[in-house]
Amino acid sequence: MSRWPTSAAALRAQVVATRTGVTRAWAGVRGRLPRHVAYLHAQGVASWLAGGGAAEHADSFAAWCAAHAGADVRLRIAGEFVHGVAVDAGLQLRDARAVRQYALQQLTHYHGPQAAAWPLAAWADGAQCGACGLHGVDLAAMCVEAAAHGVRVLAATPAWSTALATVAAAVPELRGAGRRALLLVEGSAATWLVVTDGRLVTLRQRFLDAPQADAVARLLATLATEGEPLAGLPVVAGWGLAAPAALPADIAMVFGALDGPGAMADCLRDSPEQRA
Amino acid sequence: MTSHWPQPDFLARAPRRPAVAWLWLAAALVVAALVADDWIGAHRDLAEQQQRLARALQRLPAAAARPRPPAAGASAADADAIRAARAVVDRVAHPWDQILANIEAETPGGLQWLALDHDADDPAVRLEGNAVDVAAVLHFVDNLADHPGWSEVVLGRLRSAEGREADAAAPGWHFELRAAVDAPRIAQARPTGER
Repeated sequence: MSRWPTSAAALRAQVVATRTGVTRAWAGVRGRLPRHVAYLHAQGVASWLAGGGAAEHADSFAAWCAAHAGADVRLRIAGEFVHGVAVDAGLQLRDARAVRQYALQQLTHYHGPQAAAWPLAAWADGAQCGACGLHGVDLAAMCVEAAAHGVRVLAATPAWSTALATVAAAVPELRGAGRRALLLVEGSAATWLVVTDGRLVTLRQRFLDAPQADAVARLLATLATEGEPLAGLPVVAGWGLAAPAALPADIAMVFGALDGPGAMADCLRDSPEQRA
Repeated sequence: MTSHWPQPDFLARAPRRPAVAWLWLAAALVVAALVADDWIGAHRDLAEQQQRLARALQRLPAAAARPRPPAAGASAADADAIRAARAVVDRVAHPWDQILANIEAETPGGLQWLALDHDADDPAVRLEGNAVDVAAVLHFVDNLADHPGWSEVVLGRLRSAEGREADAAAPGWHFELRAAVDAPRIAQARPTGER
């Protein structure tokens, strides 16, 4: 991904953004502003027009911006770029500011001083809260790049949050009483989301030995030994496996197909921000 | 449908300040504005007072040169005391020595002084004496009138000494003369006057 770190580039981006601002405002007034959802992953960008449509692919975010000048976009960040930070409920952190502060300390402790510059995103679900750090992606440079093409980045959320909202809406078992779990598979990256009584409580990140179904089964077996037993079968959703998954029906419920792009679109295209 | 699922956003700005903080900020700004207004007013008053003081100081030398009348609030006793003090000062400042020196300088031989009547607050001078001959007395009158500050030098009485006085060692004429003295003029004439 190309970087535009110089101030001259930023200045030019500002000029372009100002020029396209009027056009954008007019289009927004007429309701003709295209809104996109883009999934940013290691191989590039997959995007959908909000409300339906076929997936589009771009090699980089810069290329995507060039192809979608003047659009609004909500970014979904792949799990491989996201570091979750668990916040113990006993810490009694008061607000999002305190959570971010704690996450900054944790990330710099485990990942070194460069983690101090990572963008942070705090979340809270009831009493439980947590945070995510973004690494391997220069979000500020991406925003400058987007502005240069008149693209407005409305949000940059980790993919697991959208997938959790979508799968929980589609699978009632995930919202049931007791301890439930969703395993989101994004190629080799996997995110283990534990939900208790309809509230997210734990976020763990693991890597598969290989993007294959038996690796998923082994990971599920390992995760089952951690923590208290689940009240029901874990739900597995995701994409990027090398072959059609054939998980035993007694170890997991599979949401969609784990190999094709269909589940990716199903999980990520809808905007829970707008639903909420 | 559950819509509470967390949506952490890496673009989210720092959490907004709570409303109480804005209230505090507004209150602090109001207080600051009031204080600033107060300060500006005080500053303006100070400048005005300083201007008035400067104007008063410019007028001060002329006012100070003028003799001050007794303060209106002073009591009658104070005024009496001041008047008495002034009288004493005037008496002390009266040119007694000059007056006597003038008389002595013009006194010819054969002339005896018997009396000198004069007071500091009265310009009249009365001299009484005996003389051998009238010409000496008249000469004395003329010379004394030539001194600055002496005026109306006149011979009052002149009679021949008789009776007991005639038996005295210095027979002749008994005379009395009057004059008026201008004390300030005599005092001014002191540097050139005869001592």
